[in-house]
Amino acid sequence: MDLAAAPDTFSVSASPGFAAWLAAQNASIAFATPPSKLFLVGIRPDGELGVFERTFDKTMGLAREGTDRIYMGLRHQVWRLENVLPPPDRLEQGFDRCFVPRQVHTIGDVNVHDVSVAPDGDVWFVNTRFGCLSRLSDEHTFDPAWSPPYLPGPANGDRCHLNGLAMGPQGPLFASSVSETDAIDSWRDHRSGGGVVTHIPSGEVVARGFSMPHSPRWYDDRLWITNSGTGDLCLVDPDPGTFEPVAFIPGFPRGLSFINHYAVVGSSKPREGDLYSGLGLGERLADMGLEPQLGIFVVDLQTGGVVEWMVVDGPMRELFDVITLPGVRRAMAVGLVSDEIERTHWIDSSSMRRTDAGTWDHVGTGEAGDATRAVAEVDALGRDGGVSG
Amino acid sequence: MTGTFTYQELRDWELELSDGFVAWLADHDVALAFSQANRVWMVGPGSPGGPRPDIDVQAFDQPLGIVADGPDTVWLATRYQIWRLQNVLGPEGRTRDGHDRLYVPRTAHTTGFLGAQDLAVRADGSLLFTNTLFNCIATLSPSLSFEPQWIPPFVTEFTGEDRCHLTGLALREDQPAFATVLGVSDQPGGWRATDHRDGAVVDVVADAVVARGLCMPYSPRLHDGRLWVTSAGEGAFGYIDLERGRFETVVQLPAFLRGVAIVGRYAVVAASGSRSGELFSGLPVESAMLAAGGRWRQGLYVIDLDRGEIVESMTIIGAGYEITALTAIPGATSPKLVGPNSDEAQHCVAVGASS
Repeated sequence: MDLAAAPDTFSVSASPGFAAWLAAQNASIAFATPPSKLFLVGIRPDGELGVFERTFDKTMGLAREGTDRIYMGLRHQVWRLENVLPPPDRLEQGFDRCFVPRQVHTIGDVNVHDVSVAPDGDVWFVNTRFGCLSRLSDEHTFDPAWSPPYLPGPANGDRCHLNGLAMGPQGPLFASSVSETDAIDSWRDHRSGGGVVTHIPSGEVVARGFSMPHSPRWYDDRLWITNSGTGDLCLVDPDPGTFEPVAFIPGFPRGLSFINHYAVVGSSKPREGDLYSGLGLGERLADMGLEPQLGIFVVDLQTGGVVEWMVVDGPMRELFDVITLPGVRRAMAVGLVSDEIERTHWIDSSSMRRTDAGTWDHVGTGEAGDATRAVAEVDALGRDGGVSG
Repeated sequence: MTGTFTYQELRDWELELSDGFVAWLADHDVALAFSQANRVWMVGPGSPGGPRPDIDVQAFDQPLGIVADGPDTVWLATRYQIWRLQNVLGPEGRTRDGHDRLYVPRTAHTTGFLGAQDLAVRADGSLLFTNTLFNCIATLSPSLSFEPQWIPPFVTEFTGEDRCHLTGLALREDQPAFATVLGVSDQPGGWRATDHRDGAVVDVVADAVVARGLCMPYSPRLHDGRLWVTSAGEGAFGYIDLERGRFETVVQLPAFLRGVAIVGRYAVVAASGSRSGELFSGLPVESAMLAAGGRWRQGLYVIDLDRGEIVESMTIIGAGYEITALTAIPGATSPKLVGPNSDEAQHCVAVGASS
């Protein structure tokens, strides 16, 4: 797609207490709205809410590893973004993180959904088209690592719409899918009540009856999930396989992250007749006199109430994933659309040391530590003919 | 006699092949890959005994340095990234149209624009590259734009000012041994002020300039203890007499020579010209080109290093843009590339073994 032509007109509004709530959690939030936006929400130096956005080609699942690294699924790629700003006591224009797209993996158009980092650092993603969990590979398009028991194995042709991955303390723990059927595209006939959660280590389906479930998450030693077709954030008890609604979200809930005793839930706008409609959510919203919203909703896990919200009003209808970044006040990111990605370099100027003998010693770059920005005037560079055209 | 072939699918170029060029590729079991303006070429020997090479040309965003690491991996520097392209076909695999290697963009590091003209791979698979903008030899960094490894002694600051135009890198026993610079300069862009007669070879281990007076040197390569290099601005390929600190010309062509791959006792040298003419104006190679009929010679030349002469060639007519780098891929007969933003990159899937 032509990224420069991606829809760019939108407005953001938030509940009056959102900024104070976010500041009190000492956290930032990142969320992805396909087809093209990554949003980073933080607190400005004046205490107001700061919203930063970048354009990428079909932003999908998000994951963080610590707070200096983000993984982001796109149309046919997974990007690793690295923070290049030094420790957060040194701010640049009020930002304490600047995420640069540092490395990309080509994974093909496999309809990547959730992305997650295992405790051992392996990057896992839900490969919806092939019905498997996959790991990033330097050799292959992807390394299939697990398939649910009701599929014969990884195969092209989205069968059950495997979409969600809950990472546990020891590794991948639970997966969600819209159905437990193995005929190509058969999940579309099971959107209402056919969704299941599978325990990954044992390969057993542990809970059934969801309507288009997404975003299973293991938090506070409990399993949470969005039962997207009914609009509920739910708590799942894998034994005996029941689930209880915790909060109603005014939209199609998908994308889930936690901070302290709050859940941050993404919300999309179903459209009459689309895949997300006809599942009861529309009627519930109509009964309550509500319009579906695109945005994020903060649920207090102690009360089950929605306490804060932020909505985006614009051409986008989907919010795909959301992550919280604890300890981050305000993050920015470099995009791929402008020539900034070409012209700006981040180096550690202390990684080379001039010796008394008039030569250079390679000292080495510390732990992302002393990066300095070197904005090079690339046009002034000696392009000696090799880069014309 | 030379054969002329027109590749209908691209139409903007033709080839003139020496009689033995294709057989030479087959005999040495190599394919050649090179960067040219906004495209990357792959040239394989094709079917046994066939009269013409198998050629694949794919669009890339300002490709520069290129190097093969064995038969299955190709590294390629582009405008702001360094890509690792990975062959997705098994030993007996073939694409529907008969290619025996299919290099798919697998991963890329964002480096920003560095002018990474020369790439080299160490035995452990790690990549070294010349970083023209920052006057250094560098490696990939997990977190920053690159990790500098070596800066010439006469450059006194670690900055992005392209002071000496560091173009080439030769390895010895898996370590950087020699680098080429277009000017021994410590001023921003200073290499341009030297009339292109101050090109030099720098000993990376000794931190010393070991030869001066080259005219835009590129692609230093060690072979049998001898340091081969081009002096591109005078259309020359030769070696450095390290005792006397002099460049000795072995072969001269009316073309800019940039991109060298050593194959057995042969060097394959890429020759090209300039569209703009501005950069090369006033250089000896321009006079040579004008004397040779006003047309830049462009193509690949196989030079027998023992005999010091050209033995085979593939001349490209048309497609008149600069070739920047060249590499040899072992064991490939009909390699093909997939561009990073092509439909194939989205739909070509190579699945690892299930675990």
